[in-house]
Amino acid sequence: MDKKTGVYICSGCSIGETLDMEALAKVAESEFKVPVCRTHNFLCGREGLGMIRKDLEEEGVSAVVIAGWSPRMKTEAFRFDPAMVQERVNLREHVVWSHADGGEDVQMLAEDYLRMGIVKANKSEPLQPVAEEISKRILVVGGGVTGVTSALEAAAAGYEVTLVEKQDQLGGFVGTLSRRFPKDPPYTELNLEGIADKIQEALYHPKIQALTSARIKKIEGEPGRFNAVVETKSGDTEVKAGAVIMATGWKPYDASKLGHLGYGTSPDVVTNVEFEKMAGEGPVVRPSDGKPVESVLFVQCAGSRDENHLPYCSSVCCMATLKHAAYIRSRNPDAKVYIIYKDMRTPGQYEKFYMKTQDHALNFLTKGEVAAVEAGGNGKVTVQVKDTLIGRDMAVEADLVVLATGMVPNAADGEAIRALEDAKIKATTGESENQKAEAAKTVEALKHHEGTAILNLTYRQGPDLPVLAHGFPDSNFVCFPYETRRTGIYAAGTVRAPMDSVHAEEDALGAAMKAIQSVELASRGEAVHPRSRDLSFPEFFLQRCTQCKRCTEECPFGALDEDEKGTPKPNPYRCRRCGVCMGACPERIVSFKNYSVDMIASMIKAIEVPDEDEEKPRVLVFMCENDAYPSLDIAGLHRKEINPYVRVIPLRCLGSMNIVWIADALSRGIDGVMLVGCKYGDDYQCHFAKGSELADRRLENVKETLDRLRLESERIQLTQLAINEYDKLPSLIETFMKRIDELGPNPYKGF
Amino acid sequence: MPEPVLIQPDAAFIRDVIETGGGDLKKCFQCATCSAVCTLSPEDAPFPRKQMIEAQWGLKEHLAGDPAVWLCHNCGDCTTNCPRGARPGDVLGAVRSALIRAFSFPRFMGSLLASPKWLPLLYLLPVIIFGAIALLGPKAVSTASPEFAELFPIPILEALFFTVSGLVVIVLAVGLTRFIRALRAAGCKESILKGLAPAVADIATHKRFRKCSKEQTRSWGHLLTFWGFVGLAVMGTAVGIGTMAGIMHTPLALTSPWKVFANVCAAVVFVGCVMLLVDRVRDPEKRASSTYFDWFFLLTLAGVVFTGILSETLRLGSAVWAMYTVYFVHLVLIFTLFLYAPYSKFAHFLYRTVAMAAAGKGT
Amino acid sequence: MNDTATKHPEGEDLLVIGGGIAGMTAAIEAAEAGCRVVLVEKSPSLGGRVAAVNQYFPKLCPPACGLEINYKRIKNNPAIQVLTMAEVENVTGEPGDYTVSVRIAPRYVTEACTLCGDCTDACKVEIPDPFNFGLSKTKAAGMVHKGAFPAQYVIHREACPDNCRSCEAACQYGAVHLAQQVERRTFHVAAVVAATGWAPYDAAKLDNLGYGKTPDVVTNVIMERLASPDGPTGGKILRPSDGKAPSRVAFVQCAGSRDENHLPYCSAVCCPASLKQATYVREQHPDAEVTIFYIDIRTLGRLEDFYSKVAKDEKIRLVKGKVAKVSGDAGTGGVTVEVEDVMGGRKLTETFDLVVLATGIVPQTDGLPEGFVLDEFNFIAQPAGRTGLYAAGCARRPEEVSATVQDGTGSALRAFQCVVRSAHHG
Repeated sequence: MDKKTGVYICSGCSIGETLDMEALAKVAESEFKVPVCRTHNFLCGREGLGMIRKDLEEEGVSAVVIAGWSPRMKTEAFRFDPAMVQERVNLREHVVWSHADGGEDVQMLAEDYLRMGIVKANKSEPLQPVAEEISKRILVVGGGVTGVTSALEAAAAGYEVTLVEKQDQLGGFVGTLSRRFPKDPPYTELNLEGIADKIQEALYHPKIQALTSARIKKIEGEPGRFNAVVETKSGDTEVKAGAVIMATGWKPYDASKLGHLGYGTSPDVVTNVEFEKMAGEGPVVRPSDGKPVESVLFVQCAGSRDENHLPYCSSVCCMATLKHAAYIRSRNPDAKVYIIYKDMRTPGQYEKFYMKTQDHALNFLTKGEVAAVEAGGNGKVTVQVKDTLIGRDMAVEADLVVLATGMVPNAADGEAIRALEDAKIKATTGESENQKAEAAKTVEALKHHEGTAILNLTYRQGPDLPVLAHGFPDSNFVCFPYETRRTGIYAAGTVRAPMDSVHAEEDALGAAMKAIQSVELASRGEAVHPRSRDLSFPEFFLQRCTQCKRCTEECPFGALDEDEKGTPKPNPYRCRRCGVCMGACPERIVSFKNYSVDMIASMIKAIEVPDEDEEKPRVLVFMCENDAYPSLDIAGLHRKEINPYVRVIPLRCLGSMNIVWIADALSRGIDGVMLVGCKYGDDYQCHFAKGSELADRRLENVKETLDRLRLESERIQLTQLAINEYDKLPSLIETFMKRIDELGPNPYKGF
Repeated sequence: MPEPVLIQPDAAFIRDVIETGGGDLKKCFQCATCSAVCTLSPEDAPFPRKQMIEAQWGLKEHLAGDPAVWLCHNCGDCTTNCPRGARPGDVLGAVRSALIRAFSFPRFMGSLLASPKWLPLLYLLPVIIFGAIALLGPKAVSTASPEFAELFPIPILEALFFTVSGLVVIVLAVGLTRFIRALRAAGCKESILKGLAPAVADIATHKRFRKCSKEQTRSWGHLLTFWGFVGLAVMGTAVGIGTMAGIMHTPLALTSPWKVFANVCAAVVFVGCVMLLVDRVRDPEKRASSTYFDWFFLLTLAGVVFTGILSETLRLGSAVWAMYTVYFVHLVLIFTLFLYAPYSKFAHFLYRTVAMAAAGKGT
Repeated sequence: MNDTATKHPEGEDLLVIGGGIAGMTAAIEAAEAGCRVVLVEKSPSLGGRVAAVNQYFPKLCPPACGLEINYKRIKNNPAIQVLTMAEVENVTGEPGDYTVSVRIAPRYVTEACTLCGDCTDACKVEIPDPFNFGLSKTKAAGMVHKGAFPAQYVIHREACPDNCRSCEAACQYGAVHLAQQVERRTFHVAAVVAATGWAPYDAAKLDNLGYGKTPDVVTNVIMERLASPDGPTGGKILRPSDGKAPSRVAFVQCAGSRDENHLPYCSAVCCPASLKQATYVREQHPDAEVTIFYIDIRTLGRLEDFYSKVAKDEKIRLVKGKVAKVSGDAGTGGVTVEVEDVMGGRKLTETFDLVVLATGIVPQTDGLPEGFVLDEFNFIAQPAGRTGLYAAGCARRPEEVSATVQDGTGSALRAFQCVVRSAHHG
């Protein structure tokens, strides 16, 4: 359809004083012949807004370019039809506030930005929300306390649920507990409330379909349109679901690896899980001879907080042991209970329960390192402890030794499994012998992932969630703990992080909320976090696809599958709209209606590059719009001076940077290109997990381009910046500009 | 680091400590605030944090052989600052009383002193003895002015008290050897004899005691009581021997230097005791943390001095029956104080002195 | 089904008290699922405590990064109505149908504000900057901090000289209204979530730890400001007394927490927080030595990875032992710390340039509307069963950011259910 573009320039906030407004307006009117161009000295005021609305209604303006303050400001005031084309030109923070003195260079800067804005608006199309029939059923994998709670809570919010449990009954580990940690004030009494009632409720809830002795055979599709095949005793069932909650729980750490703590040397050395069972079944006796237990020693961090075993803290073992001490007390007030800990970890109100346990005359606690556990003469087990609080190594004899073993997430590493599969194939079909050998090595290294798949996603990037560390799923876990890298699939409970059942029940609520939210957003064709409610979708012009598979491999969210030839099969609802596929594609066939390779390329072309003799270098800066761009805004608010020769183009994510832009820029005589994105690595800050890292990898290929053009590779630089480093940004840019000066002008100027 | 010790918690000991003033013992979570705030706790071997966990674990032998237990004057800094309300000061007090019992011989005597329920029994013995003397004992010829000797013949009393003192000395000797054995067992190498002189010197001046920030009244009270009491002891023994040898005759004339010295000492102890009592009663913290064990000793001692002074005044005022009654009480109290010394808080004079010597904490 | 959710009779579905990370999360998550939400914040801007934090543990990433996304989610979502400088006066009614009255204090600056800064330039009064705990000065007319959301100025009227109107006169956009009055508004909602957050424990009450007596004893929250680029020192960690770079820094754990005389519970975040702040110091001053005095190091779950990483730095020393005494040392100008090194069995008296007290979390639950039940520590006890009043975040339990976000999300579902139920019979 035919767009009518309106350009609105604000002269307020000293824009008018610094810039020549008429010259600016002329850019829009004469260069681009925009039908409507107005300037106003208070555009965000009632009058200014009214003026724009009037044009929208009466003049039929269907695309607006607003030149004034940063797009991050006054967003609510300028919330017109979200589908409409709307471009913002940041004349305030990025131009006048960061170039106090103004002058010709600043005027040029402002005009370039306006050009870029108009070009982008002209190239953009209004958005058309994709609204397809979707299912709002929630599929919950795992019927332990987390899964059951998720199911009940989602059902309580009015959603249909299918609950899949591999055991023949619901409840998982917590279902077997006789007591749980204190939940309510005064936090000193164990919680007697089991989950039997919950299980019953789940089994008979009209909205919940509970499948026990069942496993997920496969899950295909996308949020709102998942299609799961569940294998049950009575054959396979198909489940159409909108979102998935992964609540597959944990398994105890394999105690057979804890020989150094005496496991296996005596039947009287057991794990806390085994003890829980023993205590649940009646009087605690010595497994060796059935004699009643008069003394018990608990070894904390048995396998946890140990680089050779589980490097992390399993979070629950301290409380579990204190609970077990209470079990013993309730049965034998005269038994001696020893607890050897590294650090006693009872956060928050749990401290009260620690106090209570300490209080018993025959509970003996000390910090210490267990050096040896061996069978003693008198049928007792002797435990050697060093680094104790009495300042001497001690030996303690006990009838029973309980190893407080930790939690291992019951998860699979999707990407590793995929890598294994790929390697297997390569090992046989590899082109060269040493390629085959390499592949064989990989197979060897990854073969422990064989058959570990749980969700069995039919995703190109693997059958389960990508893992961050120690088997826990990847996410920006501080700020957005539920946002896994598989849209619409949310991990909850101990599979996500070690936690106790009280926390798991709460975690279940959160995951259920996210699942509900994702189906609701999908039903409106809106994106989920971090581009929540974005209506744009990537479109693939497949006729030109060369099956290079870069997009399918690089998508951080595994949104793209492949056909056998390697052509991408988009799954729009899996998409987070970051544009990484767009950046990856050498053929430039991926584009959004309001964001495309061509649009940015045209913006670059819109930049006026002065001739060499003018000695006005030009540097293009691609900035992540989530962190780097706001950071430049803040620098503007602080009135920090920015070099006027740079031209900033915000990107949805640095991962959407297509190297063709760099070629375009350089061949147009732009002297250098700077990319500013989020920090990457183990503690990555990218909201799309991989963006800035991928951009950095792509720069490798750019080198070739540069060599072809006989240009120094230093003309391109990627800088990692945290959003709060606004104070560093101006100098970072300045340093780059200096380097560019040293390198001299781009020889392609004026071509 | 010595080789591992086999840990065998002594449940009875733990209960003993808990029941005799260390009720909050188990609350300690070993943060070590106590050791850091204590002005007496030495850099290289801080207390009472370590002693707290040893007590929690019922490691009686460790504590029995640990001089630090006796280095504490229970000023209560640790107790006020303890984040868990474990009251380390009180716990150490309780540990000391438990150890006095543990070292004592015969042990059952220790337990008789441990709880008020045996109090009547403790007093019954002297009451019978002195009752018998008063009623059945041979009466000395009456003189012009009334004399105690008329009712309580001097030879009998002397015989009695020298025997008691003898017994006490033997019993304390047993306790002392037990303590020293414990010290050695726990690996204390210091020569106690070498340490003794400086230790006594410090006790004579109460220098360490006064380092307790909060304890000015108490340390001075204690110093007066200590010196007054020493004076009376010396004087008592001297006069005893003197009369036995027939060199002296009691009652001594008020003008006699001996008498003057005795009265001064009595006055000093009395003032000291009053200061100690006032200190305990005035401060609610201390009142709360004072145990039967403390009160028994302090009140008996105060009682002895008070009745002594009173009976003397009554004698001079020739209030016959009142004087005899008070004197009777006086005798009972003296007897209690001495005979039970090895089992009561009184014994701390011995153990603390030795501990200070062993720890080389003299000046 | 979300249609029913938004069909709650009269106006909004859900009201959230507190615009910190917990409340913001509850509001956004519920709104994106289809609820209409009122978010009530008593200060002039959202973000709560985390907005004043330099970096999160264990990733050492700036809170502004996550906040920026959350602000964006709010800006793009008309279903969220943000009220700042607002407090809930009372709540009446029952689950599914509450009437909430909100008192909005005058900000003296309207939405017309463009952040141009003319009022700040015109303002003649300087006040101690509350955002920097008074460590720096700011004008009585200005922005809480440059990243503040809503991006709108505020006038600290209480600090203004009598009948000074210079800011009003200076504003070309008529955004300053010194005549602004208290406004009261009433909302009908199905559920209320209290996410009123926490305040640091008052270090002045720790009389043996020297806070307030020597300038070089600071708290962990102040340390965050010292390390923040927009803090009083522009992000440089310096001794408050003389602005020197510290070469020896001590962290005192459990400063008030796990202490019957102060906060009997464990504040749960101070251990990782101090480990994190130790990295601030080491990052800025490569030769500086850091000592952390602790009772137990409590880094649960994957935070243990962070603990081991930090502990590997040979210039960071961890000493088990609670600091009992902190006192200014007039001679050296240093700060003396007394503690028992428990594992070493020795008493230490060491001098540092800067001592950081790891003060704990005190729930901010005073004046909560009736219906919320508090525990013995004034944390909100989560009601059993399905009611309409829920709590989230540190008002409920001391917890770190990601746990708070989970909790906020969970409470959003509880509220959402309430909306759905009321919509069904509403």
